[in-house]
Amino acid sequence: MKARLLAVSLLAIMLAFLCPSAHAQTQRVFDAEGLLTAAQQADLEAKLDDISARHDFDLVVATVTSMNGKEQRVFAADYYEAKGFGADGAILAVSATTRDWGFAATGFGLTAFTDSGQEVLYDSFLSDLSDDRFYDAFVAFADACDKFLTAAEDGDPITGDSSTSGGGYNPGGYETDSPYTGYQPSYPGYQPNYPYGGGDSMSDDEKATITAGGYTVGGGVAAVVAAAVPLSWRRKLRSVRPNTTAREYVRSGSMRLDVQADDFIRRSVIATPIPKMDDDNRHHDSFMGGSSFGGGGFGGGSFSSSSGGSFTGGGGKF
Amino acid sequence: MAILEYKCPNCGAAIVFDATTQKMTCPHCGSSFDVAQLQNASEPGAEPQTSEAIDWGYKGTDWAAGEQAGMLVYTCSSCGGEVVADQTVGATKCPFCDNPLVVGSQFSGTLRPDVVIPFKYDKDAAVKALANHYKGKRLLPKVFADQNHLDEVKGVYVPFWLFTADAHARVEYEATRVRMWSDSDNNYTETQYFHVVREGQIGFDNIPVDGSSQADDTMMESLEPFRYADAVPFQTAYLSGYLANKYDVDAAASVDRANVRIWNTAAEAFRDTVQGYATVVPVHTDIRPLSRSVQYALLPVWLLNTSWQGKNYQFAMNGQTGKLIGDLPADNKAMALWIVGLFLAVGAVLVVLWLLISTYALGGVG
Repeated sequence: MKARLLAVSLLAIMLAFLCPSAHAQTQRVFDAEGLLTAAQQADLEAKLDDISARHDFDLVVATVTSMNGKEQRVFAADYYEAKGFGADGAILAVSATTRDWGFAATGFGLTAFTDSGQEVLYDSFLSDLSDDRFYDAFVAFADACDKFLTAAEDGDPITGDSSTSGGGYNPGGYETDSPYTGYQPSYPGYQPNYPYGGGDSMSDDEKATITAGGYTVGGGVAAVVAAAVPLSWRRKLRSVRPNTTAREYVRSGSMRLDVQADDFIRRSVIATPIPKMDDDNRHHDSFMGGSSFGGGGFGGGSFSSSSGGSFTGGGGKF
Repeated sequence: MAILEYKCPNCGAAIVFDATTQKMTCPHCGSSFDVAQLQNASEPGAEPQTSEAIDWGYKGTDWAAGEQAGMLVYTCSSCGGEVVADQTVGATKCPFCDNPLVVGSQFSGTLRPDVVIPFKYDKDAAVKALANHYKGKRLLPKVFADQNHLDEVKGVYVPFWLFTADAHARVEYEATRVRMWSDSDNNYTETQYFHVVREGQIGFDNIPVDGSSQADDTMMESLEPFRYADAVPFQTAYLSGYLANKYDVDAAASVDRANVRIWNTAAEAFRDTVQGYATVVPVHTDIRPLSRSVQYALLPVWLLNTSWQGKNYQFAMNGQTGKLIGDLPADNKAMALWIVGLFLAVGAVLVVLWLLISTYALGGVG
């Protein structure tokens, strides 16, 4: 029985890797603030649907009146989860009322939207946002995500410094006032520069660390299975065991509770400060500070949603 | 010396109790008779007499005059166990340790059993159950089933004390509930502490504790449960064709084991009524038996002694339910091979899986 359970668990793990993320929702535009016309909403919905379907990736845009005091990217992640979207996806949440924006991506989004790449992404829509051209901002966001996803699927996630990586990526004439030059809206293609055809966003050390970790975990799983199954067979050879209880001999209906008291005595509350992502903020603040949009920014790193889901993303004021 | 022997009313041959039909059967002419019918016809009509009191309030009953006549006591030269049997059994080896039995003497003394659960499974069923016991055991040495020699199969009525008791329990617990939440600055963990009390009663019927020092206590507990609905007032006719072990551990000496089981079960049952908490720790437990009674019972057990490579292996089958137990040897070499083989096989699958994931999901790690 234990061996069977083990087999089912392994199968479930394998299926989890193999199954594509499901598109649990069809509505992808949630305009609580009414920033879009009906036509714009329909067009944006169609665009997001098209991109989501092509990349098997849930792309969502939301406008909200408030982010409830949460960090913008956490609010965006929570919103994404609350709407029940799939394991792979990204969301841009905007509040014109409070001038907040938050971006969060999960699943394959963790690969597609690298820390430095997110700076490129944000720059694609923040100027429109700051000018209150919300529809344009959302379209720009969708188009940029499309390119990010395509690049990542080709094994070369877009990074902010792609132009200097020497990986054959030609940033070309991206001409804005932004302080970076690594992003070209019309993605020109990619020439693989290492055997697996992957991107250059991961250093050799990181790859080696992940590989070593993978083999260690795999070796551990193999060792546990190899020991647990024969041990369960060995236990089958033993059928002589002491019986230390008398459950079979409890007289039916004989149990009677005369006293049943549950008295509250005291309570204690422990508060643990939440670590702030100062390093990431400094990095991103520096970028944001140099841009023309002003305002503080968050992000460039992985974080957890309120329910514990793994996300990457950022946010700030516009 | 008189021998306890039931004669077939039809042909006069010695007849024995047949577990399959639950009747006394004549092996010669095939006639069968109800036990009660035969008992009334052949036993003296004396009423059981009360013997001196024993501990735990058990009075017990004495044998009726002439009831023990013809029952022989065989003594094991090795473990000292005393086995009661009639002439039809021809006991030669101790069912518990497989050593020779010394020729019997006239059975006398000890209390008369109150109830007996007759055998429902016969010797063939026990042998078949043992063969089935070997099946599906991957680590059982392959030659064990073939080379293992079945030395002795004996149907034995093992003496048990059946304890019936009501227990009063009062248990106090310290229990906690935990709630967690967060704001923008902190994670909060609130723990609420409760003092929980449960007090009441619980009753137990017929907890069996074997009264034989020769029968392995753990083995006898592994044979449980017995179904007492089939228990009938003791009659010597049921012993015909089987051995009966004389009790040598009295009720007073056996009650501790019953108390342990009562205590554990009552503690579990009351703990199960404390729900809705993250942790529950008993801080004071008081469980004590109230009214109680004990019966002396003979319960049916098939003992199968085997030997393999100079070592004895004993198996036992509940003669009422057919449940067979007994530890089997393990093939350590096969186990080592399985461990190595499974490690390599599972490792290979995971390596392939990892390579696929690293190629297609992580973009070529490694």
